Amino acid sequence: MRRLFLGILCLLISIFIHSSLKWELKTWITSPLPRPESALILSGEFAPLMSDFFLVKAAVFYGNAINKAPKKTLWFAKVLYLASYLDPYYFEPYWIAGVILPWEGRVKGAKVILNRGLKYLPHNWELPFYLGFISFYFEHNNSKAAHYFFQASKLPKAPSYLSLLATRLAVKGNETPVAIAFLQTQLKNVKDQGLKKRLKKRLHALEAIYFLERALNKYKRIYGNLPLRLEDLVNKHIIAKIPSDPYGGKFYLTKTGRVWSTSNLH
Amino acid sequence: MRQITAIAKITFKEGIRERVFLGVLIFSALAFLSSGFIADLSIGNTLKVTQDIGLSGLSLLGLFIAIFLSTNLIAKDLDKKTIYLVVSKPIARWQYIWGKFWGLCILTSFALAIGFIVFLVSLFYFWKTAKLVQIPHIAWDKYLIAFVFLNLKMFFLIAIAVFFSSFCSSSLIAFFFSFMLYFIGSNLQNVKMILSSKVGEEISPVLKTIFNFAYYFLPNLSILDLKQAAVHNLPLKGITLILTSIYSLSYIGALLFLASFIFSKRELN
Repeated sequence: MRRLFLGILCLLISIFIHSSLKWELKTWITSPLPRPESALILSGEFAPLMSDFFLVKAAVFYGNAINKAPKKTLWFAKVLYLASYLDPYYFEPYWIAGVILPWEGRVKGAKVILNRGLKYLPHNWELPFYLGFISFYFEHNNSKAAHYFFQASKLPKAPSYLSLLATRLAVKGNETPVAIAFLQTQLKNVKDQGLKKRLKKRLHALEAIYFLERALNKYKRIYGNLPLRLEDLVNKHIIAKIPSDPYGGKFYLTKTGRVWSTSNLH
Repeated sequence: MRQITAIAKITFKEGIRERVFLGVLIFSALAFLSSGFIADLSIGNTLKVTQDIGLSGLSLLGLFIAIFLSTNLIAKDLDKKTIYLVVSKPIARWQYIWGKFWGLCILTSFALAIGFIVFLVSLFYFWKTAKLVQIPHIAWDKYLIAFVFLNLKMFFLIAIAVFFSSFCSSSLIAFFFSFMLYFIGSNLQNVKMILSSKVGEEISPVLKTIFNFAYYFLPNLSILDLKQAAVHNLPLKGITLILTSIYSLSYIGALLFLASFIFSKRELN
């Protein structure tokens, strides 16, 4: 009886200590990552399962938007690379790398992951499509973007508008509407509510920018030059008011005549 | 042949009676049935995660029986001196080795078949009830091929375990050696890939030569792993599958003949 009592007491002590330990989701998610090669060897035949595990980590990280510091976004890029390295035929890590990474300032990382994906999933039109979008929107390299869009348009199940888009790009850059179309396409494929919410937020911000860009074009047509500030659009009654930035920033006109926000859309 | 069948039968019955066997079977069945719910943690194609959990669980189940139970059952015969009853009968020692091997193979295949059926039923349920934007195509035929090769891989592991048990004095040592060979065998392809990549340029040529020797000499279990091919519906070449089967069967034969030879020279005291 005394032994049973001592046993229960020890168990209660350990439960009490465990409950008082601070377990932080933040530390669990962004814990140091192994080298891809070591992870592959250690997981052996269970590498695809480990790839799933690291993708769950990436999803939890992004869903919680824990930290936007450059070090954390580097971790995010690394965990996606690791997931794609452990199971190179798994589409999802490439998809997140294509749709989310560049917006987090990790254009180079996204390109590395996607280029690796081209080798393993050569019949998937979405990978060259993402690479094309990155070249176009983030690197302003229209000829390269057109090349990727053409490559994607030739693959099975590719939407018919891709070849048209490629031709249009080869002629003239029209960044914001293309980015809006890109996000709208992605929204149709997303089921996860957290991710959907974040993509929608970005879409609203881009729609506001596009609205201001059209107003600027109208101003230029009437007055022959661009205004000095966005507020001039309201003063000259071209628009009723400047739309608000869903990220909490304020839209302004850059020296190059581009509409951008103080929030950097983060 | 009759003697081998008799020993195989006894081994099978002995294995079935092990409580651990039942425990592992129940545990893996639970894992398969809950795989769909675990997969919901992921994003995108969650059905892929269900398939990975199921196939990895099946591999673990086979691995446990093939290595742990094999080394344990042979060691038990030696420890409890039940082997004297066998060798005192008109049964040659090589027949004992082959009988043990076949008994363990039937036992593993039996457990894997139960696990596979539970896994397929649960996968079919999660596939039909999946709420995904695009329901992925499931290559059932490739699942069947992957299952056949999983069995072959387990036979390979049993042969390795029997080989080490034929001369190791303790089951723990035999288990350790078998597991190490399994670990190396599962990674031969991975190491080869890493060595041929940029990382491999930093590795010394001596190490590379040792690896090249090991690559052809040690059992390559990774070529029998068709899990990824089944999950991602990757193309499989008939000729490669046939050659892989022949390679495995001849390697298993080599291990068993060697085990028979060593065991016949072993002193049982």
